[in-house]
Amino acid sequence: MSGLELTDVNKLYGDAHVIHDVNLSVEPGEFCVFVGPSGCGKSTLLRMIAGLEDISQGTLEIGGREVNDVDPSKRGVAMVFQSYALYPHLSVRENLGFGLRFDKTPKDEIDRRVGAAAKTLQLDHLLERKPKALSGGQRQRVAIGRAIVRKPEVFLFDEPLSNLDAELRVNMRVEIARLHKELGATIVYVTHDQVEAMTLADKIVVLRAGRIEQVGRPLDLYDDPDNIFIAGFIGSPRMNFLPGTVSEASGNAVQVRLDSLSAEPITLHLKDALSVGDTVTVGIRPEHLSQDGPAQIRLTTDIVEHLGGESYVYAHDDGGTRLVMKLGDAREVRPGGQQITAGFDPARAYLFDADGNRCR
Amino acid sequence: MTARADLVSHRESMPESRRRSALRRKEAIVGYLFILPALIGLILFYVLPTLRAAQISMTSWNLMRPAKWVGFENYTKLWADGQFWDSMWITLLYVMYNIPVQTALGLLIAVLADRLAKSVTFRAVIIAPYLISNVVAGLVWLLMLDPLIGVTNSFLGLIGIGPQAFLSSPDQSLVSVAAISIWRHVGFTALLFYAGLQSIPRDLYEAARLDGASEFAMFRLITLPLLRPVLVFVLVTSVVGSFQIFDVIAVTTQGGPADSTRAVLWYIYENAFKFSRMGYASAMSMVLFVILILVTLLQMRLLRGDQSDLG
Repeated sequence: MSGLELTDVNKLYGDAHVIHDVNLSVEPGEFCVFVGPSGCGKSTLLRMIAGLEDISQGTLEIGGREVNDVDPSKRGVAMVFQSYALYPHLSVRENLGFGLRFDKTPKDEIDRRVGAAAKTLQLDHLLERKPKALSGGQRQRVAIGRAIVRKPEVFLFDEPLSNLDAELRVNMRVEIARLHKELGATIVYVTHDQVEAMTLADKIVVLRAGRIEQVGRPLDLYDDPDNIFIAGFIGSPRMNFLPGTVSEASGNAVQVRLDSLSAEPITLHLKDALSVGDTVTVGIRPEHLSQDGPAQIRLTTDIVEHLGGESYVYAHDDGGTRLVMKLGDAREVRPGGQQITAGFDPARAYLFDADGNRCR
Repeated sequence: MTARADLVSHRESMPESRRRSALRRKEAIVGYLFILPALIGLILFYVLPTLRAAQISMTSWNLMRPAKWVGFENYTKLWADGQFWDSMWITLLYVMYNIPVQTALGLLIAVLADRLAKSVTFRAVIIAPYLISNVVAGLVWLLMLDPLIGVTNSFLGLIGIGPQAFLSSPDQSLVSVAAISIWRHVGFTALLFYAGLQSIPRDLYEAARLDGASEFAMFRLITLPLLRPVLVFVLVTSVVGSFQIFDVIAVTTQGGPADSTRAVLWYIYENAFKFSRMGYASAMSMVLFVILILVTLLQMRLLRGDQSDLG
């Protein structure tokens, strides 16, 4: 298995600059997930690695070899498409072996590899069927199988689970994780679903508007986001953001008054310097809000979602700011108008400056 | 009890299966109403004339005197008519010149337009000849292929080829008529293929590219199999159309020279309107009708025209 290295990679379509100075290293055997909102350039970046899009500037190395000008089929990559891209007129067996017929693989070897992939993916009994006669999950497995038989150095997945229903998506997620473990493969995986990113990735790359916002392990991004975008994007339900103003600053302690909430000012300890009057945003994860805690906010409930083991309480304060709390048990909380108190520990709150950058 | 309540209670008392079949009947009536205008057109302009032709084919009728019932006499006469079978052979030759070239050229243009230049102007230009009527196309080419004053021979002269007789030569006339027809129809054929190509998902080509397939392999292994339904449509309509070649021949050669372009429809026309043998001409029309149905069914069966792998 090989890793890959992107250095100062840019993509331009005429005057439109869609990928900006991407520098990224994916280690051999690593599961790297590109995540970001629609239009952030994650699929474009993946297609550039595959060779389906040219690299306008910068270099791409796979296994230490620069491949900018190498034909897609010679890069040692295999791709699983969002639509599966199965050949509808060919059987599962022919689909699986399609790629091998062009590099003059002997027929015996094609049969052996197709058989092995079919066994790994439990497709043995479906080999003679056409894609039309398969379920969504089976099609997905054929698409993955087609990549496996080629024994690539790097697997590329372009939103492979987005066409599946919720239950199947969870199953296939587990399947892909198992496969990664079995094959020890280097995988670059694109998704807009941060749950997929969190559960599958060794490394998450968060993209926004063609730029890398942050790279890191899933929990590092969750626990230590660099900016307000990452903080809001990673985590479900998303982080609560409360506008505030620095009311006091002395040494490494700042006191922040929350603008719209009927709460006492909170004190945070930071290394970054802030001045009195600075506009800031306080971020609190839903699970860090509870019905008690040193800092208190008075809220009115809107909706309560009971998921069984946990509940989400959606509420607002007098100024209209909306918050969501994650509670272990919210059976006694009524939706629509109940007055409740939400508390949190300021030490667990995140502070962002006016530009959205994290103050640490 | 009000009428509405009556209705509700009546409905409730109806078994589920009966209620459903009543609904289905109602939907069927609406469906028939939608196709009624087309059905009326089909009956008035296709079914009735066909039945009438079948009836006339059993008569001897010269348009002047009342038709006389002769049974299958016209058909037995036709069986022994060498000129009829000659005209069928000429038509078949014409189809064999016309269809492969028109289909292959149309496919080539469509694939090139799809893979290289998705230009609207290009598509507009290639469809232009189809917008001209067959008669006008025939007249234009009659002038262009004229052995003495036509521009075609002037162009051939530029590349060192001597003057050709084209429509005036029994050896070249049928090929020339086929060429005119190809020129007029190839753009339309290409456009049909082009539309068919748009229904093939792009990512199939991308997946094949990653697999190392060449452009030709992609054409052979992806484009051609997935274009099959369009190919069948193009083949069936163009083969049926080619069997009915008439107007270009009427304008350019009138069956000549030396009967070399006397296709079956021209022969039928001659019998009906030159020799006033309506019964005999109708019998030939009926035979052509049956042959075309058989040819169409054969094409549909061989090329599995009713099945698509897409969707």
